Amino acid sequence: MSNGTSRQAWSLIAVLLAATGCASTSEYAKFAQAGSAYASALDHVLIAAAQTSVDATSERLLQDDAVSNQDLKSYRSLSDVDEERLVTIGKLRAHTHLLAAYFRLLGDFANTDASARAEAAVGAVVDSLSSLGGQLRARRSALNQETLAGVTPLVVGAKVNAALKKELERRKETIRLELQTQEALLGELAAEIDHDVRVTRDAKEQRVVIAPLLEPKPIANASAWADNRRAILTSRSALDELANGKDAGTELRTTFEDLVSGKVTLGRIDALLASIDGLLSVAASLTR
Amino acid sequence: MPLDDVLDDLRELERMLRSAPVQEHFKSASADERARFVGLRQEVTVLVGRLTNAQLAGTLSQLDALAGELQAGMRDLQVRLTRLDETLAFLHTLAAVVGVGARIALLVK
Repeated sequence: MSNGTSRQAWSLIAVLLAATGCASTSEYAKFAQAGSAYASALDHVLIAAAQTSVDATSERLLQDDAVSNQDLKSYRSLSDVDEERLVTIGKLRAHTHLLAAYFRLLGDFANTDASARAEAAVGAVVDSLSSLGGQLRARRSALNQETLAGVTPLVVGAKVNAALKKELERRKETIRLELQTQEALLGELAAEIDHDVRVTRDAKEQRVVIAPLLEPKPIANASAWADNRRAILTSRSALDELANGKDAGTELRTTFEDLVSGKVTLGRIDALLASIDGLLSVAASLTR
Repeated sequence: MPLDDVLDDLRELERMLRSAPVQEHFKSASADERARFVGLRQEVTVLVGRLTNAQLAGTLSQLDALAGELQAGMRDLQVRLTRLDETLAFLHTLAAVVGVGARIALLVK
């Protein structure tokens, strides 16, 4: 092969490698965008979960007071449960923010110009994430790192730059564990939100719809009564949206696994973004 | 028995106790019966809340024997709900279920 032909061949290889790297950068940049969107959506869901929990307790107390006068001890015993729930939800929110920060840094790693900055910042983020994740996992045997030994390890795909490959080799299993933690907690929270929404709905219907209707005198403000009734009866649809919303956590994790393994497409990440939109609509409907 | 099943059963119990027919029935009961019913109902509420918080915090594991007792109590309570006019019998059965719940709650501590 002549020098000219050899140079052409190497140029062609360089172009192909650059094109491959560009495609991988786009995927990581888009996944970083999806990760940030997920964190924002989940934050709204967690805030809504906190409000739903507190409102459900208020309805319970009103319901109890309608049968037998309540005292401070009763109030405290129910309210203390809310306070404890708010602490756990706070930790989950912080965990979600840290995951979003990590995904943004991952996007930076894929961008050669920003990878040095990312390398300087990533250690602190992952340390905080692991520490908080450890608190959230506590004694959950299904989610402890030791039990993941039997799970198929992730293999980093070839189409990434050296800095990104080094970062993924080091932290891929840690991040997978944190995503699994989110997934499990979101599922459990969904079950409790479901219960709180049902309790609130039934108690509120009794208080503001049925009780006034059964009074001997006509309802004073008919429009307000009808508005209340509609809002209460249609709150059921939020439960169905929640079922779709909690799948976003699973999708995020499986997309991350495929991204690391080099199997993901931009179309797949677009589908993830659509799923996250579903999560955001859940939060909006719960706080309506 | 996994915690999820215990929680599902207790949540169903709470919804049952907070349903309109049960609420209306106890509004016309004696003052003592009303106070006793609300006290027991709140214990169920607090138990559901504390078990959920323990589940979220990852600090709870299997509850085999007690969960079986709870399920048996709930089946009994379901029967009593069809005969709400037998108020004392209903409250007695509810108290027994709540008693099991209190023993479950000790596992949370």
